[in-house]
Amino acid sequence: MSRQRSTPFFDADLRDGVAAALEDCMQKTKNMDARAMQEAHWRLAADMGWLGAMVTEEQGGLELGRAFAADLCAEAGRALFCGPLLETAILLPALAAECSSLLPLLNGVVAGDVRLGLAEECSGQVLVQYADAATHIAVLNCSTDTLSVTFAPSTAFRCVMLQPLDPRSSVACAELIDPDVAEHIPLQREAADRVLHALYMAQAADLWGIAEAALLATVSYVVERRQFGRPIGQFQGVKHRLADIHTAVDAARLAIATTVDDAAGAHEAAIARILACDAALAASGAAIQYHGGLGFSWEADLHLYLKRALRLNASTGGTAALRSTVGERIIMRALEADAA
Amino acid sequence: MVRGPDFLRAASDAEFRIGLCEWLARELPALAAGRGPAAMNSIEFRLAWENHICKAGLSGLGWPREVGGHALSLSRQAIYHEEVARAGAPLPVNMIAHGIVAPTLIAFGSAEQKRRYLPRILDNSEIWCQGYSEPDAGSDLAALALRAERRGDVYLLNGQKIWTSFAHLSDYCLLLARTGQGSSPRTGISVMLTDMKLPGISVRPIRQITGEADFNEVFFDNVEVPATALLGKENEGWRLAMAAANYERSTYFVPRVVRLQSELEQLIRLASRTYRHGCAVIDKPSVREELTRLCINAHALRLFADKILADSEAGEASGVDSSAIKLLWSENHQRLFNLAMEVLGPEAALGPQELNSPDEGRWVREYLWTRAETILAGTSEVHRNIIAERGLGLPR
Repeated sequence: MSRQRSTPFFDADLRDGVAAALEDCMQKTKNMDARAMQEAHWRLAADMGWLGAMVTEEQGGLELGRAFAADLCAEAGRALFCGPLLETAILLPALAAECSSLLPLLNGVVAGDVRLGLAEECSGQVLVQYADAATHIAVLNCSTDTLSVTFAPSTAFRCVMLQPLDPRSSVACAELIDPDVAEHIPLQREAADRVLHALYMAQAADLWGIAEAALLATVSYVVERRQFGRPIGQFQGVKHRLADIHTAVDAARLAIATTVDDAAGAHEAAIARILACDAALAASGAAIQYHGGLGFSWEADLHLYLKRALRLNASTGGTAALRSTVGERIIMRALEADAA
Repeated sequence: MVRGPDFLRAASDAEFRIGLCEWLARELPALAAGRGPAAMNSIEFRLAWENHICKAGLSGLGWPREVGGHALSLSRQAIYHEEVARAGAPLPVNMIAHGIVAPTLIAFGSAEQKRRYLPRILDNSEIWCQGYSEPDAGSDLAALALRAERRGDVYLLNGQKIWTSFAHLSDYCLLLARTGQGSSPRTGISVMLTDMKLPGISVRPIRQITGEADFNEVFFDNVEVPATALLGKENEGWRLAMAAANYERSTYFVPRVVRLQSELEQLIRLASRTYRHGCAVIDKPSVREELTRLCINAHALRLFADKILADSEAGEASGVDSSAIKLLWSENHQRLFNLAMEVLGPEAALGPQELNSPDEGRWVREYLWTRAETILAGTSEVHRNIIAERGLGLPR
């Protein structure tokens, strides 16, 4: 029996409903340019109520909780959803829970009128994802224990569009030209922990969806593709690498499942994102390798998995930096336990 | 008669854990009596500790009550293994008897076989080994060739086993022998409960890369085994052997994951107190990065162990998770000691029995020992094939 879709984090029917709607939409939009595709995908997300998944019922949302959010992000990753879904549907409500001045935006989130572009500063320039359609921009500043966010309508920024690596995203270099309308949100330990928990979990789920989709696509291909008179999936060189990716994908899934738990925090969610990122990069890399020349061609779509994984890998300071932050904390705890 | 300490009958898992921890905190240091790391892990002390546990009534935890067990739930067995490992107890010696032979006997043994063997496993008075591998049957176990020919009331055994751990200490052997030729190599295999003191059996220890000799070659030269030693049906031993390998799966990795976790914490401390060129080794970025990767993998390992336990409790098959956890555990355990060698620096070149090296040579000894872990109980290559074929559906 070949690898089946993994069990959902929340509910199989809901998850399969999301998957079916996305697949149908992907079919219809596959030949569109990125901008038109984003509009179509965004309409679907609004119509299906996904954008309100983490918004309270009071504010018109569905309040489905973190487990559904994980399924939603995983399906978005798997389907290569085009648009700032996790930023708007997961991160923005988490920020609003800590900063009440953002609460009035949530109605617009549910309706599909608000889109949040996530930005980070790098060597003096601010890069914004999905700047082409973002109505608001959040510039993240992460350090070990704190997080500060500069939040403003996108009209407060002057944006110069740049070429994005991921063809299903857009990116701009932004400059804050109207600082008076920008809100500076400093988040201390617990608040920062809650927001980063939501963000890392959502990113981990998206990455995990990429990883599983790339793995399943590769497995189908190596079972069919024949060379030297046999399916290439019969060669141990291929088998062993795919076996390791299968294990990495399962490890990431288990880690995400624990972050759905209320007892988990940003630390566990960061570990989940690291594991999911490793799995996504390995699976999308192997997908290109084992599809041969086809894998290297633009037409085959396999590059989209790799590029989406790389885009998420680079966010919040990058997974390598996140890994060392996680490591610092674990090493410090071990040494403190010893001293005690 | 009620057997064992009171915590075995605790009302809740939490009280069970507390009672167990108190018992361990009292009994282990008392028996260890100031032994250092090397002496704590010697065969003599491992056996002494195991005998102590069994004498206290802490054996047969999962066995049914009618055969003298405690019928503890899987979650309590897991707590037991977890806390014993956390307390720093040495590994058992007679693990084949407790982990493999006993559950197999309980499932497939005759009333007479259970009556004869189980009590002596409970009190640890008989040690068992597992006669599986042969020179030409390693990963391909079904290729085994040791012959057992029926001659009236006995089987006549001729052939050889190899890599048999603790055969030199064992009273009995769970032996796989070929009794017939079937349509495939897997048919025609039988399981024999073989007395290691029978005439014609000779045991030759094999020295390992650690310098110690825990495993052996075992030769069978016209050995007459009574027909009553047959476990289950003749020629149907493969199914038993496969079932036997599965009994431990739900809790097998629980203590190993806990040990790996605590070894990792000890390695962090070793790296923080080891200085080279005036600088603590833990401040080297390469050391920190590898430590971090290991900690994250240890976290994943724990999640796999929890999942396997939860699936077993729910009566679900573990699928390829057992292969995944075996690979993750053995390969990360090796990486942990690879890093320890980096941390030790010049002291890594001291031999495994050198007591004047950090922690009495423990890091070097374990480094060498972990080389076995990717080979035994299914090599890494075999497990990757299993995951690829059964988990992903790739062609054989």
